[in-house]
Amino acid sequence: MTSEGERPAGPGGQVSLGEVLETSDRLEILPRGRGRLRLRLPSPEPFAWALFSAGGFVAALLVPVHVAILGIAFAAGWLPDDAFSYQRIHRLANNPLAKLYLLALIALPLFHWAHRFRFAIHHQFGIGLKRLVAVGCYGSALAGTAVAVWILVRI
Amino acid sequence: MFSAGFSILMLAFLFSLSRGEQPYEGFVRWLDGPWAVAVSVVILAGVLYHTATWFRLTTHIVEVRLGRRVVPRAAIGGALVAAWIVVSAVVAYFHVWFWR
Repeated sequence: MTSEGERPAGPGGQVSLGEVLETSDRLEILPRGRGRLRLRLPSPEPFAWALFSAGGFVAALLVPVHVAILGIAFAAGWLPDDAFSYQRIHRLANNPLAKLYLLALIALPLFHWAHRFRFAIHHQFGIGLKRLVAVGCYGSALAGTAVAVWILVRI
Repeated sequence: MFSAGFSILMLAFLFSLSRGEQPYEGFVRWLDGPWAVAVSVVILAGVLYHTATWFRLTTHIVEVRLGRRVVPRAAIGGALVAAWIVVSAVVAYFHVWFWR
């Protein structure tokens, strides 16, 4: 039994995609006027979902090999000695295409995290404060992206 | 969550790179230590779990049709895993062996 107003959780207490979509911002845009049509600005939410999905793919496809190389293979001594030399890495990261790649590699997972974590705060932790949470999550991702741009320009 | 941890790790790496040779060598020495490995193992475990669930999710959402036939889920999953292996190999090549 679920008490009134409480959202029934899916199997294993997990929140299904449908429930997440149900409580998405779209619902708040439904016209509430008495029979009148209300014009509202289009929601930026599809944009957040697009970044979420792009970041999900970057995190799934690209991040594991990067973590394995940067964090594990190097320390384990599996790489050639000069693989991480300053000259070589500096030359690699100086390439404009490499910079573009690095920006996507860093920023897209941040937006994936922001969107996912935003719903986790509402569903798993049961905290409301929708606007504050959204500003905090997307704000952190935007800040991380700005820092990435700043660093990449200076390399 | 874990991929955001990776983003921060990568940002720190690139930040040290942008500050010049000495700070970079310092960060690389930290990468060689036990803390960096411990953090990376946790991130890798989390990210690999994400890869598995994300690909599974994709096979349930995407429906590929060839003519009238629908491509089976197992085939889409296989293609994703194959793409993952190829992409990982390409990244490893550029990251480790290119321009040596």
